[in-house]
Amino acid sequence: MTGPPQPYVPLWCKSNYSFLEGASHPEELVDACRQKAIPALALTDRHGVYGMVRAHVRARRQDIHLIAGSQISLREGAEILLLARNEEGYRNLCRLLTDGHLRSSKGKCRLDAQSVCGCSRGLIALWIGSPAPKASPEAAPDSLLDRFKAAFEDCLYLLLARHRQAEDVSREMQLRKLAERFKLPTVAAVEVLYHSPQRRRLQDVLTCIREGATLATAGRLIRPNDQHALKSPEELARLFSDDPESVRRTREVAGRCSFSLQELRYRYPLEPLPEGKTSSQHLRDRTFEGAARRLGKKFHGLMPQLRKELDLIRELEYEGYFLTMHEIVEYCRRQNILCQGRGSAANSVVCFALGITSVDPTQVDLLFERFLSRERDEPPDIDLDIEHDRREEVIQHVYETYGRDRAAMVANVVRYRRRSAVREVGKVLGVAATSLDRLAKLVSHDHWSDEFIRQAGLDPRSPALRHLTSLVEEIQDFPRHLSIHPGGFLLGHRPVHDLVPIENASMQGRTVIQWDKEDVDQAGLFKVDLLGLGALTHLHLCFDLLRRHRQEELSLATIPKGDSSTFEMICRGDTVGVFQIESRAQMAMLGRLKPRSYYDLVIEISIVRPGPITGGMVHPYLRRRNGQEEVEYPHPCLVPVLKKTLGIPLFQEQVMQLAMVAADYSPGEADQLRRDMAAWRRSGRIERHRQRLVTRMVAKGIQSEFAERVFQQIRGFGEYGFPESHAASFAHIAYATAYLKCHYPAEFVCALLNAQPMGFYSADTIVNDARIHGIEVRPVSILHSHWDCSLVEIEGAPGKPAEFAVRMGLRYVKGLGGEDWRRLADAARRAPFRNLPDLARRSRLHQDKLEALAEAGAFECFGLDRRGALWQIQGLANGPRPALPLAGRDPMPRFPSLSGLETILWDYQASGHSSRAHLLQPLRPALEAQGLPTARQLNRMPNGRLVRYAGMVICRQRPGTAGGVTFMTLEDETGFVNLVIWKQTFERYSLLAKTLSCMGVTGNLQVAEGVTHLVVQKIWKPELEQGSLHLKSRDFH
Amino acid sequence: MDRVGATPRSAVDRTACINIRALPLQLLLRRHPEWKQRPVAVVEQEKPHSPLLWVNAPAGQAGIRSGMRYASALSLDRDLCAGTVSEQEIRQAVRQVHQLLDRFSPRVEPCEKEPGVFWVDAGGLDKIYGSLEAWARQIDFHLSRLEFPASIVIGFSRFGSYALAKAERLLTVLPSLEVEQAQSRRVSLLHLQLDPRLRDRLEKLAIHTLEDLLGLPEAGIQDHLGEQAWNLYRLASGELSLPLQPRSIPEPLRACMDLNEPDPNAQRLLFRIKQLLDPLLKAAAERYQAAAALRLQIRLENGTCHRHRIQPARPTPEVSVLLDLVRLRLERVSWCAPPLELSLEVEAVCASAETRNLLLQTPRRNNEAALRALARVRAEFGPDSVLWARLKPAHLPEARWEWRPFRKLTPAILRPVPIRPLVRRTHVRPKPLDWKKPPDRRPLLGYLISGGWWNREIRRDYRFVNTKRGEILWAYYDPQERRWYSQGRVE
Repeated sequence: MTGPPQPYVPLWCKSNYSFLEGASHPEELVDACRQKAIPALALTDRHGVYGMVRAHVRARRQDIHLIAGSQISLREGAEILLLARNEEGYRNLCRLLTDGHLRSSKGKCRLDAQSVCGCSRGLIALWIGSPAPKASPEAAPDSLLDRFKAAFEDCLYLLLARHRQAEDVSREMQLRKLAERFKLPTVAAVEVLYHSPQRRRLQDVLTCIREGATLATAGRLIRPNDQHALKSPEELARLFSDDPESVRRTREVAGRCSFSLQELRYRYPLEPLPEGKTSSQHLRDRTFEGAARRLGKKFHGLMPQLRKELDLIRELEYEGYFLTMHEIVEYCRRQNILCQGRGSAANSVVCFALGITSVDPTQVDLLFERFLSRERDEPPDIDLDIEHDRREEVIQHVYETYGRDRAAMVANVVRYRRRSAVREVGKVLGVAATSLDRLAKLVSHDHWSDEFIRQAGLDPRSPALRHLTSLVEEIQDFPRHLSIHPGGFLLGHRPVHDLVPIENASMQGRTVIQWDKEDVDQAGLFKVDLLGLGALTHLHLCFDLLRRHRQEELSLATIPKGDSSTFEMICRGDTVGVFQIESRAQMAMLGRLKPRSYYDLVIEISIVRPGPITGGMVHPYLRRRNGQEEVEYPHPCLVPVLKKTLGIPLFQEQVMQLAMVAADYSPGEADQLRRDMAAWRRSGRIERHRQRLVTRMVAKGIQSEFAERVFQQIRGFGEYGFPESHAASFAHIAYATAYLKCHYPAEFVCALLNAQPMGFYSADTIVNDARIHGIEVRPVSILHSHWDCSLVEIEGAPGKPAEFAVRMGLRYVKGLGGEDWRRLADAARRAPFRNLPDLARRSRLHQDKLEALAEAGAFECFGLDRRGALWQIQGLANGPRPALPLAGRDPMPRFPSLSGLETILWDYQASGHSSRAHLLQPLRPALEAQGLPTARQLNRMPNGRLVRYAGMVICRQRPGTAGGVTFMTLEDETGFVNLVIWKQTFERYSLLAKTLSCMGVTGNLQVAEGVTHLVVQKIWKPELEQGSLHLKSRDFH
Repeated sequence: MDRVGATPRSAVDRTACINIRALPLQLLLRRHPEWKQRPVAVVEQEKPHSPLLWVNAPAGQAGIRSGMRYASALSLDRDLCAGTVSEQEIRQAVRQVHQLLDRFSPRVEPCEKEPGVFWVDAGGLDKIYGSLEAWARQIDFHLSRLEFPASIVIGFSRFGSYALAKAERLLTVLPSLEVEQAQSRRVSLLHLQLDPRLRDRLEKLAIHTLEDLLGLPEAGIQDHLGEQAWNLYRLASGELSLPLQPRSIPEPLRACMDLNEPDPNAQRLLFRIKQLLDPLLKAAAERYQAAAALRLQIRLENGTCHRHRIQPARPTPEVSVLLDLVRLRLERVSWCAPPLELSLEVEAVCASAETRNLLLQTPRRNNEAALRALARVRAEFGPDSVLWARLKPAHLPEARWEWRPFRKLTPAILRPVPIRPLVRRTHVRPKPLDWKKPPDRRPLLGYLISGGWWNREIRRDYRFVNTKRGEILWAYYDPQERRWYSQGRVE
């Protein structure tokens, strides 16, 4: 009688991090091992360890022994698996992979036998043989195996893989002959590409995507059967019933691999130190210097906190990290690059003292534990915002300072989303690419419906579309390829490629590690985030304009605080272009919250977030703030925690403090609560806090009913809670931009236009808003415009402050590039342009560029209207361009002048905006004749009125917290109208709602606390003489 | 300068232009009738960046124009449907309409550049049909029956009638050349098939109609707007006028012979065939063509009909080569009744210089002899007797090759084979076996093929089975049908 089959270890498993090859997530493979009672698993993704951290985290939870490895294709034509026996082996594997990747272009890895044999220590090699099914495994010369045997000694095995394919037998026969000749042991395996046979379809599709084939034409590119699933011990025993020894050896191999990712020892690089100083002393000195400089007399009051923080930093050996951040900030300062730390770092006085953050610790209560705690075994996270157009300078500085082997950027894994999935999977299924393009533009990013397929003119019942529907759902979140994280750097005291392989990015001069931000966090590695922030560029440009045109020196630190006119402007919701508080939802909230101080702005930024909204905290807070509800606290001990937000928890830090004060959580426990809140939707781990929180609160004398309510609020807060420290950092910039908008509107607009692309609104809306505020915006002119927008002084009354108009820059002419501008500027520097032929002759711009300028009206300064300029350019293009100016050869025809509307339409077409008027302004008489009001008129109408309105759509949003409600903002020459579209209404008019640029709506006005919304009942296409108007809107971002 | 239009050949010369409106688009909509109310475009290729070739009215209303990329057009109207129409489809439709129009006029010219546009000489047809309106209505009626809505303009010049026929759906007979000129000048340039770049350029200059174009200074047009605009200008002004260039649909090279008396004698039959073949080959030669195949139809006294297609090794103008092949074919025919009527058609193709010269040269390679021999095999055993197997990269054994007609003989390349492999002989179609389970208790080896889930799921569990007779059978079990099949055997 035979007993139950002995467990085996799958040694050849590829997850979906073998891009477009594996068809299961690493976590799914680990879970499947657990279900099948398999004790260990080797993750051997192709040319990388991309999925290793995810698998490691899940394997720890499931108590599965994870073996780190990778499948490698040798240049000699053979395939091998390398498994890490110990830390040295893992290091060698990472070095090898780095070597192979850095020698090749992005996504490729070139390794030869010599390199592999040179890094054999600590590794086990499993010889697969030739990848081509027809070629014999002996295709590799004997000398190759000889070399491997010499290098790997008893750590070389031959891998016998069985997939019930026709070629299996001959391949195995050859391998067995090799095993006999070279006296090598064999191990049994299946090439695992998915955890369950149901994923076979997806694996076929991924193969086709990789090979650029369709299923109908793929032929033998796809696997012949579904035998690549993870097999149970019984199944494998059956498959290798004739060779149990090879099955047993899988356990032997697994037993020899003791390495775990937990063993990775990581230390942060040490900064160069002044002679005789330790890093701890150096950090202390720099901190005290900075604190004295920034805090003045208040410094002494914060000494205890500073000492506490410094002691903890020393204890955790994080000095190097803080000194690095300090060095980067100092570099920015030296180079006149605006930067500011954000995130939880703003909870640290040390960060403030070192100049990393700007949140004054005397103004805001900070929770240091949110930033750093002893209980939490993970490094602090400092995100540094840098002017977005100068971030590359800082990145290159980091590479130069630490070297390419000690600094590499963190990867961003590009994953399949619905639209990309529709395009790629549909193509594989043979659906016409044009139909897919249409369908991809119609599908929603958050759900799928057959209605989209019908709207795209396709039949959802057809087999291809039914497969598409199911496969698109299945492929969601699958990694597609690596790109670069916007600013995450991994820095190490020893080469980064000892921790994780580095590869080339597609961008010149960038190298990237194989792990993304989450992996780096999970692996406990230090990351420096250097993020680009357009608002800082905006501020910098604005300060420069003030210095140049008004000789006024302003900076983030010197902007007057608490300016009442600025807050009045904010209360009016007049915040187009103001950082963080310019969106439709923020504007609506400004009218209700009416911020009057810096801290109000911190609340404003935090409150329009999914956390407070879903936690039901917004309305109670507003009622209390407006005196409509009494401020009460459940227990006196909570007063210090909740006082600043009138008894309602609004920030993540407050939830942590609440747990610490009311339920006696330690700082570390409180931080764990924060993490569990962030993950509760996925893990449900928040529930384990319920009993602990409620019991302890009740024990402290808090009513159980309130304790329960607090818990519900915490749960509602979920993953969307916004940290106060983050909001505090942002509020600084928000206030600064608001101040500039209020007091220097022309400079503000000019800088904002030059900082584009950034923010919420397009140049068109910014220009329209400027016009509404009485700022003169002048169109592009070849004789007066620069590349960037510029300020032009308007002659005013003597003694009055100078007033400025904004001259649009040539950067806004579509199709014109920086190189074209340089040609123009060079030619203009030699002598001013006299006329169009002179300009064309001397600048030698291509005809398309000249036409783009003509269509934008840039040649009107030569007395040429746009059509006349086009005619001249076409003549210059078709005839030879003389080296010297010639007199005109033919008469200029008389072309009809552009009408007002035509002029604006040409402006939009040529430059995406019009400095002359809003698109709807010339149509106003026609709209008035139809009884349609302007936005200004509508916003003054009373609550409940039924109105019809038409405007240009500038944004469509459907927040996940809004229960399917869609919000849209429409714009005309007088301002915005906010629409609320209930789910049913949206579905009824979905095609119009999604596609119209100029939209007509009928609905009831909802006016509350000075904020007007139009609740839409009907959507229609306005009847306009010139047909359709088209503008690009910001949709469902 | 006051322009004078084209001068017709005589006062009664009438030129009609028939425009099957956006013919490729109509063909696309026939394939997708569900798209009729939606914006639709014909694209060059099924790719998002493919340019649009034709757009329908709803698409035009959304600002979509031919020449745009599909992806850009989609941003104007996300409802835009698109598809391709092959040149062959268009050619077939043009030929169909051409054949129809040939019934109404002896002189028909299909437009080379714009499929669906035809010029027809309508001179004198009013006398046959009563009036030109009646003639046009007849054409319109028959085109409608073919489901080709068209505009028909009977005018005086090619360009004038063309411009008006492109402008709108109408059936009109213009009374005079002056009226034609006046009306055609009002035609919007958007209706004419202009290069999209020129069309957009003219639109930007507010040149919307032919009249606007004619208002430009003549001297500058070529320099400022290029060659195409210049030609358009000259056509619109009447400066450039081409005569009607009728094309006829080539007559098939076909001949028949009634044998008067049934004659079973093969030699005499061959001689009669030669009588038919000689003039047909001569006619082909006049077209610079050679015979690629013969279609021979022989009706017998008892009413039955024998049909043969005989293909030489390569297109030939030589009677003797063809007759030799006919003889081989007829030698194998046993007549159940004497032949009564002969019909012969020559499938002619343009003779290449090589083909023409070949007959003058002495063959130097055995390949030629082989080709001739294979032609004789085909002649004797039928056209499907010479095939070659094209290998395909598929998993299913029967899908790993396909039979293709043999076209070209290439020298065989011999590869050394170290061990003589076993040979698998495959059935064209798997044969069902009446096994409950394989008879062999020692199955040699097996493998599994499964897939095709996107079309029809297939699963086959293959075995090589030793039979009692010592054969190795290549069989598989189909779990869906729950039965065994023989795929072939191994030798």
